Amino acid sequence: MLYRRQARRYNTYKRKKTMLNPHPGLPEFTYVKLASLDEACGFLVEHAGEARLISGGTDLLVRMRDKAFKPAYVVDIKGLEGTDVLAFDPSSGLKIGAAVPMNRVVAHPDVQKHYPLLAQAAKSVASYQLRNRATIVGNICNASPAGDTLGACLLLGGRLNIYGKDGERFEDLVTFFKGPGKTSLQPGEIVTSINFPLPEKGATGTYLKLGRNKLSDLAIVGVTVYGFPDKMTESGFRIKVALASVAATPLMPPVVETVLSENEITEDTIQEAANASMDACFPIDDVRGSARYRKEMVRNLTRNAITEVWGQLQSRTENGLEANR
Amino acid sequence: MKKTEITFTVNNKTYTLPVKPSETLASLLRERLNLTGTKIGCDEAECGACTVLVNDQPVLSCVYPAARADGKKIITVEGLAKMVHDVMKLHPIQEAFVEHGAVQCGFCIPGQIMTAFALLKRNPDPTQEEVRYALKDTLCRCAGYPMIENAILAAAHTLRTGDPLPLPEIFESIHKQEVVGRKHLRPDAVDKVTGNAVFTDDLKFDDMLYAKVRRAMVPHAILKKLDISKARQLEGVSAVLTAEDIPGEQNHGLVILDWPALIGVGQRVRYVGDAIAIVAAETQEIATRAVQLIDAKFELLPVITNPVQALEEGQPQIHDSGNLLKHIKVRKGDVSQGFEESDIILEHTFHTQTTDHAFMEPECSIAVPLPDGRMEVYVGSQIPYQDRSQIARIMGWDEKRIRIVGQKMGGGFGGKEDIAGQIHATLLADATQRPVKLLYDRHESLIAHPKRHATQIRVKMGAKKDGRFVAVETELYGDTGAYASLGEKVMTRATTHSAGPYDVPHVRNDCYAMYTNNPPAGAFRGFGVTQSAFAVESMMDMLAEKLDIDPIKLRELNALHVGSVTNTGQELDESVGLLECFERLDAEIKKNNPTPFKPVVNPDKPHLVRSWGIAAAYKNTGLGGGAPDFSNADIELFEDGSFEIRSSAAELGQGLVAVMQMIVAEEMSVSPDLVRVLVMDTDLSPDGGPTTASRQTYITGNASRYAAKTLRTAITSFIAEKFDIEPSKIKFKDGTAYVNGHRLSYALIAREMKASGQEPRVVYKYNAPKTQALGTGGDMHFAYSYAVQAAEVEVNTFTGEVSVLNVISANDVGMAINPLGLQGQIEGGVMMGLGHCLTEEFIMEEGQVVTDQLARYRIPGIMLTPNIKSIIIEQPTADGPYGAKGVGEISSIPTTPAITNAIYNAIGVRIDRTPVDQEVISKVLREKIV
Repeated sequence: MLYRRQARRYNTYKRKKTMLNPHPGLPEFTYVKLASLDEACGFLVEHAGEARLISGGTDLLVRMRDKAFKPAYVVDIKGLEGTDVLAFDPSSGLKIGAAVPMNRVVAHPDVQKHYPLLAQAAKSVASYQLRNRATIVGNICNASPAGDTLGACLLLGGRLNIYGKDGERFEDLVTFFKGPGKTSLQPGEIVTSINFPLPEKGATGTYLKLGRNKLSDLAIVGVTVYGFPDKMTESGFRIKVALASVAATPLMPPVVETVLSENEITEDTIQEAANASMDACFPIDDVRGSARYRKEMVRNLTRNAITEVWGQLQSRTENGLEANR
Repeated sequence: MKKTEITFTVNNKTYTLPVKPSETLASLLRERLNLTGTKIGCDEAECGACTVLVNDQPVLSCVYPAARADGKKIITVEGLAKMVHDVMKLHPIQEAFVEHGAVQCGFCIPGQIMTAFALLKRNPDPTQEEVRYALKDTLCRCAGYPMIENAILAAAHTLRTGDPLPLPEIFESIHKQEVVGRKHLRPDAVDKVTGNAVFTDDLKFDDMLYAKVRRAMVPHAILKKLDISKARQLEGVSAVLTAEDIPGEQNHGLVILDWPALIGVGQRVRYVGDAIAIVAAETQEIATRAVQLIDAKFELLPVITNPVQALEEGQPQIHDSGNLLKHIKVRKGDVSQGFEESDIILEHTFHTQTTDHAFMEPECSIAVPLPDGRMEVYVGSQIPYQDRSQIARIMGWDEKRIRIVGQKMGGGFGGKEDIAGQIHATLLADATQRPVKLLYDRHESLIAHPKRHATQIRVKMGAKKDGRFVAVETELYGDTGAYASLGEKVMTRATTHSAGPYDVPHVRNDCYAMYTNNPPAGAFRGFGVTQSAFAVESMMDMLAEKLDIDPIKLRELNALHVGSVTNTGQELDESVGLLECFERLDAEIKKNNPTPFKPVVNPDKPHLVRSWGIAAAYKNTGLGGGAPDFSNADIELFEDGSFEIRSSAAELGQGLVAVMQMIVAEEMSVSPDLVRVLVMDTDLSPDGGPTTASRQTYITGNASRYAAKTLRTAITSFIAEKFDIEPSKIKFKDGTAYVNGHRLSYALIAREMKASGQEPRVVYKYNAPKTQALGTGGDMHFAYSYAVQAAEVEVNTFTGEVSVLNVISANDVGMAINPLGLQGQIEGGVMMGLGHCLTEEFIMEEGQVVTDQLARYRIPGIMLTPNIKSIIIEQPTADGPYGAKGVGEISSIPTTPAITNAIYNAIGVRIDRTPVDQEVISKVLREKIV
């Protein structure tokens, strides 16, 4: 009987339609390096359905071995104009090119100073070797609900710079995700960078990630919290939450923000916000964890993350008051 | 622009090469530049073995498109050591890995070293945490993590300061002699840190073909139709073979011949990994494509997914003999009387999961036909002579027509005892008369080879109020999967050890080893005892709590000691170090904490609760149960004064070669540098028996020792005769014989002996003490090792997460022949036990494998490594070499129950199913609050 229970637990695991013979190997593909965005875009349009962009390639090649993708052409985004830029401008904010590996982002002094939340999230991705190749934009374009950097990018107001056959366009990250692996990108479109506005004054944040026994790099649940003082709110603060691995796309439940804006922040309101966060998500059962466990963990992690961020906000405010006196 | 050529430098050498589609940097380095130091462990960016530096940044070369290397500067492991005046000077990191014993099987080592090299480039003075964070996903299955970490810290110190390399403190055996029992470095370590060590996949032969297996990928079916015509027509395909092409017998197997090399049309498929056709082609890609062109039709049958179901009436029968492989019984006294006499009776059922060995080196075989009709098979195998006989059977050949040429092995742990690709490669090489390489990738390795048995174990325990045991009854079900492999032996060991290392008057154990449609289960470090130790040691703590007795006291009260009779009726007359293990561990654990088994709540973070737990185990050394247990060793003295010792025992990373080298050096009074060791070659080395059951230090160690002793006697009598002197007056020291004030070097002795027509060579067959079959009473095994472990865990009550902070491991090993190697075995054993307890689960769903990638089957990395304190107990066994017993398995067995008992002590949640599921902990905690 116990065996059956175990089997049931796993039967929601996504079954492959037909089990593949072992070692499908890397399908044959041609690596293409083009001189300009324009050419790359043209190539992607011309070979729609059989070409994919490669940024770090850390995920793409693994999935190609799995036969999840079978592109005939792999088009390198590295070297295309603007994709290598990592620049901070004190008046406009941060720009991270699509080909900038995460380690470079983590190590950048301005990122550490102004966007520590982004650095923290990026550092939680896999291994150092992998982060030498993996990119933030790649992480975003994979559109995995478990993507570690997605929450930070959303909460920091990330905006994508997208190049297409009709020229350049911008899209807020908030509207970009359409489902697991699905985005609003049209055929031929290339995300060239992600841009962040200047962080709010006094802002702070944290990313809490729960794996299975700390081992699995994929988050069972990921909670990102970002907060800053805001005189317009009842509580004097604005605190936002983004959730990973608990829905088809990363979630930013507005109700949590509302609870923490419209009420004085206390242990009780934090708990209320945590409960609201739990109620706002709709995870599935899978091999890594049941829906029920995930919901509870969303509550616990949200509570812990808000408490942490709230503590930092308070101490900063106190320090600020001290300084003013 | 599609580039046609790329230019890059590797280790300061510039190359310009044409672009190959789909090529990764790893395969470019390995296949086109023959830089095979870079290893491929998973090919899915999980294990880190393929780490190289590109423009000084470490990257995983298995997911780095080769075309991207254009214009880049690459450094591989081969680029670290420098030649200084024709002498190789190791890089300090390499030297540190050798000196600190961080090298075991060596397969992951290039990746570890390159990761460390990159770390020290960007951070010359890392903390322990920084080292761990940098090596987070560079996996080592021998789990030499503590030694790897120490080596890197030591190398950092040297690189920073120019000081000589800080060396580790290594304990010495209390029974130490001139060589044995003292510090000794593995002879293969230098090759393994420079990337020069050759594993099977590193070999290439002229005109070599690449093979691929078409597997059934359905768990239970009749093969109705098999169409290979399209595959045969594919250009570049040399051969496509099916069951019809098997020249000899169809079945192979280690004990029972029930495993078809290929399933024929009309025959039964019993698991997803069953082979139905094999292909050899000019390239791996063509072979892979050909396999996909093979069309098979199956009539699907109901699937048996677990051993309990397999025994139920009305279930489909997987083999002609039925689903029951074996009903194993152990009887001692009368349990019903025992339970009547008991003051307290407890009963509980436990479950353990299937696990995979996940050795870092996937299986590889290369068969090479010779002009004289013989076949050489290059393979890393735990039982070379059995490979030979199993291949011969399928080929219908005389065994001597085949030569197994053993290669360096990237770990085995029991998973390389069965046939993997050896037979298929031979069939294809014979059909094409060309060398054929059959390499499994990680996916195929996970699907095809035998696993650890999943079990269901019910334990009923009766004791007196004072804690004295009266009766233990156990009932086990073991999932041996589709084929027997070593299932009967494994489950026998699980059964005989199922009452723990305790003296119990009344015992009744029953075990049903069952066939199912899961991948086969066979040998895996611990050999069944891992599973039953979890059940019985959990029960021990449950009993201790009920009786309110200290868990160490309860165990000590019942522990096996000299004079005890085991449940199979063996009277133990020597070398039972269990009580000493308890005593030493008790002192250690209570040094700073008089109540280690009480929960301790973190005052700052009350959701974090710590506690200790303990568990004990014993494990036989050697095959036992009446099986003849022997090894042959062939020793030869050469005219340059060096020795060679040969035996086909297997070196899988555990360190046997070092042990043989030390033993010969000891017996011949010569420096170990002058002793070469040749293993795993069926033409050149005599049968050393299987490398299993923690037996090689004892058996082949003894064979080597007696071979050396015999040679020494022969040399002594030769000198005595030649110089007409009493043999007792001849002394040997430092490779020289001292005779009447004269000094004779071994080189001279060899020449003199040969000149007078004597061969300075001895082949010795060592027969281990006789054992008795189960059920006949008497000595079932000739030696046992004992261990007690304590683990300190921290449980996060918010999430259910468990982390292991400290482990104390006390092992009675008889005698520590190679203390540095022993440390690696003990720490690695603890880590493997920890993985079994916390992270590893081979998941199957209706016979299909869910965990078919390393990303889904997680083995512990360096971040999970606790502080491991080792206590060595050396109660020598009379017939062991210098008193030594086996240690390979015992070090991993008590870890799981020590951790789960600690979890109970921390938060009151009894884990009765492995691996520990944080979700279950969280759920039980929630229910407890409500």
